[in-house]
Amino acid sequence: MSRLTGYAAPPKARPGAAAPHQYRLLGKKVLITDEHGRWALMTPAEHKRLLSGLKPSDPLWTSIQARGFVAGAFDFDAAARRQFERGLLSWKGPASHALALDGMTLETARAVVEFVFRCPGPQLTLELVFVDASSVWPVLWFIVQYARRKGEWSRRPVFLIARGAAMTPDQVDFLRSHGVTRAATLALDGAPDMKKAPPFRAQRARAVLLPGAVRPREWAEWFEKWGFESVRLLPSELDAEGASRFGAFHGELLDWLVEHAEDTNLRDEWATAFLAGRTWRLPGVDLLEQLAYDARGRVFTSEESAAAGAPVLGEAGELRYQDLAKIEAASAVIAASHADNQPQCSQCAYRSYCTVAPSINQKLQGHYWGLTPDSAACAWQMGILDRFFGRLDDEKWLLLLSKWHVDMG
Amino acid sequence: MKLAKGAVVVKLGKPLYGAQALAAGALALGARAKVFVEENKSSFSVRIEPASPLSEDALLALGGSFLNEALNHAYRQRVIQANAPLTRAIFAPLFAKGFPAVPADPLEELEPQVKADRALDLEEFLTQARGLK
Repeated sequence: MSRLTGYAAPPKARPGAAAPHQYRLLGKKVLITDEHGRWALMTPAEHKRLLSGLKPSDPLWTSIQARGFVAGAFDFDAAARRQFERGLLSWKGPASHALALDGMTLETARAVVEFVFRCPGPQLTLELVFVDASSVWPVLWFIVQYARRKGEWSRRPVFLIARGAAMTPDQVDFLRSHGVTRAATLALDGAPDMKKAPPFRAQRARAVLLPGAVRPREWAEWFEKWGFESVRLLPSELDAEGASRFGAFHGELLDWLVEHAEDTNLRDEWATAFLAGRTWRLPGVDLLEQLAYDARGRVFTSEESAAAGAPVLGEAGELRYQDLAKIEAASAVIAASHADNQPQCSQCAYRSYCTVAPSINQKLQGHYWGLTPDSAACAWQMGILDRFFGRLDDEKWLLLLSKWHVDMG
Repeated sequence: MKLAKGAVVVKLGKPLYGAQALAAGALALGARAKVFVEENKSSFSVRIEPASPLSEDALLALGGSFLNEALNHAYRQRVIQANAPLTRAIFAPLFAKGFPAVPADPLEELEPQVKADRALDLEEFLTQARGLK
């Protein structure tokens, strides 16, 4: 049962009727999920029928049985396969590497790129973070060239993302010709000026929602108009008020996307991140999804921990990737990000989709584990997931998800 | 929870709370307070002295933070124990095998010329980059 959403009078459950699952009340609907990421959205009456024992003649039987929620027809092999595919057992190493370029030297850049390529995994993403591309251009140029070449040598796909607030048209052209995705760091305030172009032509928007940001639908139109392919909204302050403000804005932006499902090219990055159902792929999850490097080449568990300056795992030029497992802080963040080690998360309906990055817990609450009932990050992420799962009975939302290659089957 | 001369005192029963839970509570307070513990057979008496004088409400909030974290820790340990058979199966192989790095490129190992060519490529990139503004 997820916190705050229990039934006032829980339906009676007949032992052996329904397969183990978590539930969460979403308005008038009940979301049920299992630990392998399967889900179903139903009415309370249907949930009651499931708990008391569905008969094969029940109209629900076919879909619910196929999703693995009927105890008597549980497919253990399929569950084991899903557990392996979606769980840490199939984790191959951090896929995303965030490099803070401002102040980085070429020698440090070289050491960092070489460290990144010692990480295993079928593909690597290097996110190159800066304020103004012009002030880091030699380093940015070098990393793009060297990482591309290293990708060819190691025969692994390499995704490069250049994320900043400013770059010139020539720099955009260079990055485009080298297959680098451009992400614009934006701060949304007030309503958009539709005539005002973004600082450069970017495919992705990393948009921080300032307290004054209004008219989310117009912002969606603004993103669409200026050719953005995806947007990742972020709250400016991660507290109760910030999470609530974010929820209202994000909800309306999603409404706009659903209404324009057939013709929009814009994607909500949170949807693809959360609904992929691999918590170690959520952006910014320490070490499992991300490693971060500061300008001095120090290695951190995530961008958040790099911003805090701790814990430092080592220096890119000296640290060996295989030694990461021996570092206590590395073990701690991995243990702290696993739902089965967290009292509230272990019983949450979103346990197989969500985790709060331990470094965010550290920032907000002083330690990696976090205190979930008080956590604004938990409320923020649960809000996002409520908006995604609450719409899963909407054909247009499903159409949009399939356009974004999110398979909720 | 009782207020006592600018401090707050909480009593916690054994065996629900152990030394680790108290340490977790103290850690959550950080530099905001000093925590003193007295132990007897059945309970702990914890005296929390703030780093600087606080109002009664703030003292109670400080004690509350300590209690929240101590309870969270105690409960989390139970959850961890309950889920241990599953999590052990996941974490044991992960940490037992460590994080294997990508092995050295066999092409570079077998063909010294490949390694030399690649070093030249790198040098060329560095030289070009140094010439950029």
